[in-house]
Amino acid sequence: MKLRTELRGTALVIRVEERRIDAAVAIRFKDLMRDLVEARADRIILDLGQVEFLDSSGLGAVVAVRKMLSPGRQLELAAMTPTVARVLALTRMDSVFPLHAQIPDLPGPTAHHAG
Amino acid sequence: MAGSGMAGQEAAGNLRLDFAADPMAVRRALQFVVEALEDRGVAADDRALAEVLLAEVLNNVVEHAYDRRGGWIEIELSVSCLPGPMPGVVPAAVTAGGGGGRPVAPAVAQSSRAELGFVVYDWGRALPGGTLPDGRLPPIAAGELPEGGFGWYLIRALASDLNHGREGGRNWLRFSLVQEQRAALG
Repeated sequence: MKLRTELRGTALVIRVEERRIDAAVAIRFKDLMRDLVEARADRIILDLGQVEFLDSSGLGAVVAVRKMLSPGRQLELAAMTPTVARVLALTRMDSVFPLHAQIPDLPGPTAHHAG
Repeated sequence: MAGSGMAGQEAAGNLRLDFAADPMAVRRALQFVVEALEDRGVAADDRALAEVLLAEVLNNVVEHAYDRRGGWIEIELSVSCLPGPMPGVVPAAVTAGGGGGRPVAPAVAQSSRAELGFVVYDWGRALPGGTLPDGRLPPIAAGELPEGGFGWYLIRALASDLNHGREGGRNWLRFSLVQEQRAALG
């Protein structure tokens, strides 16, 4: 499970460099995200552009990450592929997360490290 | 695939595949099925929905029938063409993923919707109460978001003709992904 983070202004962009967030990696994903979301950032944007497949375990892990955030901070989902968008829509989770078709315009990166 | 213990057997439109009941073997099995569907000319959209549906069924077997202790799963897949063209058909080349590779299936099937039928067998626990879960979407309340309960909801949303039974210590679940369902989801 590879996650790459980039601090852009007050937003932390976390790019999931995996083709799948499924039952095989859901727990690992949640554990890695737990550390990453500690970063001092108002917005956490999850870049799902490389993720072609999300199952109910992966979705549960994404929801769990959102619940890790302190009040006032949001988990935003970006660059969803068609199948991931389908799963979010079917489960109504598209109404829970702010969604961005693409990574929003943000200031340039100020730091990044691979996770 | 070495050491995965996976064996596939292909007939004309049908496929039988068995594999270990663990998440990595399930992942490989899904990839195998998706490629088999592609070889049979099934459209990308249908392959994606079939993968979500089958993934949820298989995850349930791994987690509940076998309680994550491992076991064996067998699946049967049948692909039959439904008559008539399908609106908004996706060209086969879209998902070639870097080109080269495997030969593309005959284009004939691309213009028809395929009916995909599945049977999943396991030798694990019987379903609690002997019935399939309702698959109701967990309520979304502010501050109390559900982290689970999506699996059966997705199965109910994507499957039709859902049937199950248990014979001689073997569970079977039969279902298909049909046209009307997919049209409604479009």
